[in-house]
Amino acid sequence: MMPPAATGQTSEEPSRQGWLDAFHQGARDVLEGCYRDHFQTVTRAVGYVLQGADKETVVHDVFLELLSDAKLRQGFKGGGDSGLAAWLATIARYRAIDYWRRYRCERSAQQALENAARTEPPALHPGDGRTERSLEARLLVEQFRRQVLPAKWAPVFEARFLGELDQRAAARSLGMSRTTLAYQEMQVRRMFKRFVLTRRTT
Amino acid sequence: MRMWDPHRRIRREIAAHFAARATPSAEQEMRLHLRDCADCVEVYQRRLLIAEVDPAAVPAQVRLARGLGLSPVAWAGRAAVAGVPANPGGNTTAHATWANRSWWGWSALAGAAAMAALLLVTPVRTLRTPETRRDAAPAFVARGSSPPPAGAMPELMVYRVASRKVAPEPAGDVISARDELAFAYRNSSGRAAGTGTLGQSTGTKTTGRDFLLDYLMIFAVDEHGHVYWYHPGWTRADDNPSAIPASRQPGIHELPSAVAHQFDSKQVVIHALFSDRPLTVRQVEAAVARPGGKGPDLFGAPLRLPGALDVRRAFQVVP
Repeated sequence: MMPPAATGQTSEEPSRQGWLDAFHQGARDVLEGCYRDHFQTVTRAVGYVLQGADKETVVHDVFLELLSDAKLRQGFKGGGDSGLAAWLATIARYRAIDYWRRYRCERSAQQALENAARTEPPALHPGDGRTERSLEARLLVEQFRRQVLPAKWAPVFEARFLGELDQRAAARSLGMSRTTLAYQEMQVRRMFKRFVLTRRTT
Repeated sequence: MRMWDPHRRIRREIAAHFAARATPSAEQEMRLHLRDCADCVEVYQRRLLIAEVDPAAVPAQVRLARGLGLSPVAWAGRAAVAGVPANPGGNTTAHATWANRSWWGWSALAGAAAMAALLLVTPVRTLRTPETRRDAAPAFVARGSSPPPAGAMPELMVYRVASRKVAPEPAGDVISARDELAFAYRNSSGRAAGTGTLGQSTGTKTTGRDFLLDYLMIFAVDEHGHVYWYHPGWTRADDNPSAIPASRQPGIHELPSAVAHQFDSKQVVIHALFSDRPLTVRQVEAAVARPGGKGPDLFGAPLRLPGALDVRRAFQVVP
C-alpha cells in the first residue's frame, strides 16, 4: 500500500486510500512506520533552527503530536511518500521556530528565519544520521585522555570510543579476549561519564 | 526536613531517557521541564556529549521512540517484524542504527552433561522491558482497534544483531554460531485454552480453564541436548533463575538484551516458553532431558510442562 498520490487515478488507488484512512485514524503500525521512515526528515528540519536538547525536545513533540492529534493527521491529504516527508518537514520547521520564539529568544528573529531557510542540511555521519562529532565532544575527549584516562586503558578507549571498532574487531586488534576488553570498556565508560557530568565549565 | 526537589527527579528522568528506559509520561514531564530550566538542559547536553563519544550509547531514534512508547517496528529495520506492514513507500535508507551497543552473553550446561560452557561477556546496555514501565500502554490507541481473540497464539520474533552499525534484522532460517540474538514477543491475549497440549501433568484431559500466560523463558536447544539460556540469564551454576514476567498488553514487546552464545551444533531450536507460573531453568532443563525433549526429537513435540505453552523456531547454525 502506498500513501495516496495527489492527482490521477491509478490501479493502486483503493490501497492508497486505505493507507490514508489508516493514517488519519491513527493506526499504530502506520504511525510507527512514519516514525521509522521519517525520523531523519523531522530531525533534519528541526536541526535547521535548534540544536542539542532543544532539537530532541521538538522532534519528540512533533511525533507526539502526530501520534495523538487526529486533527493534525487529517491535515495530510496525500501526495505519496515525498508528500508525507515534505508535510512532516514543514510541521517540524514551524514547531522549531515556534519553540525558539517562545523559549530561546536570544537571537534575532531574522537570524532564526535565515537558518530555517537554509537548504543545506547539517552534515550527517554516513550511515547512521549522526552529525559529525562536535568540536566540543572532541575537546572533551582530548581533555579526558590527558587528565583522567589511565594509560593501561588508553588502547581500549582509542579502539572503541575513537576508532569505533566493534568489540570483536577491537579485541582482535588489541590481542585480548573480548571479556577483558568488555571489562576495561565498562571501566572507561564509567570514568568518562563521571568526568563529563561533574566537570566544571569555565 | 528534605525539600522536594523537582530537578533531582528530572535528572533521573534524563538518565532514564538516555538509557532508553523512559516512560511516555516521564518523558513528557521531562520535556516540559527542559523548556524553562537551563541547569537541567545543561545536564541533558552533557549526556548528549557522552552519547556522541560512547560506542554503547543508544541512538537518538531509539531513545525518542522509547519515550513515545513505540515498539521495535518504529526504530528497527524496515521488515524487522514479520507480518507488520511496512510504511508504504517509506525511505529505505532511513533505518535506525543499532550502533554503539554491547551485550552480555550467557550459556549454561545442560542437565548433567559435562559440556564446558563458553561465556561471552560484554558490558550490558539494557533496556527496561515494557512490563516494568510505569506506563505500559502506548501514548495513543488506534481507533477502531479491538483486542485479539482469546486463545490467539503468542509469537516469538528473533533478530540477529550482526553489527553495531546496522539495525538488527529478523533472523531467517540460518544463523551464525556466534550471532548475537535479540528477541521480541507478542502475547496479545495472554491466555491459552486449557488443553492437553499445554502439558497438563494429568495428561490429555481438557480442563476447560484458561491459562494466563504471565511468564516467559527463551532458550535454545541443540541436537546434542545442550540448553543455551537467553531469558532469564543464567550466569552461575548454583543459581536457579525463574521465568521473566511476560506482558499481556497488546502489541510487540522487545526484550532488553541481545545475547551471544557459541553454538557447537548444526541445528538449534529456540523456544519461547510462555507459562502461567514462574518456571525455573532447572525445571525446563529436566524437561529437555526427558525422552522426547532433545536429540533426535529436536523438531518433534513441544516441551510439556504444566501451564506452559511452547512456541518454537528452528535454525540451522553455520560457523
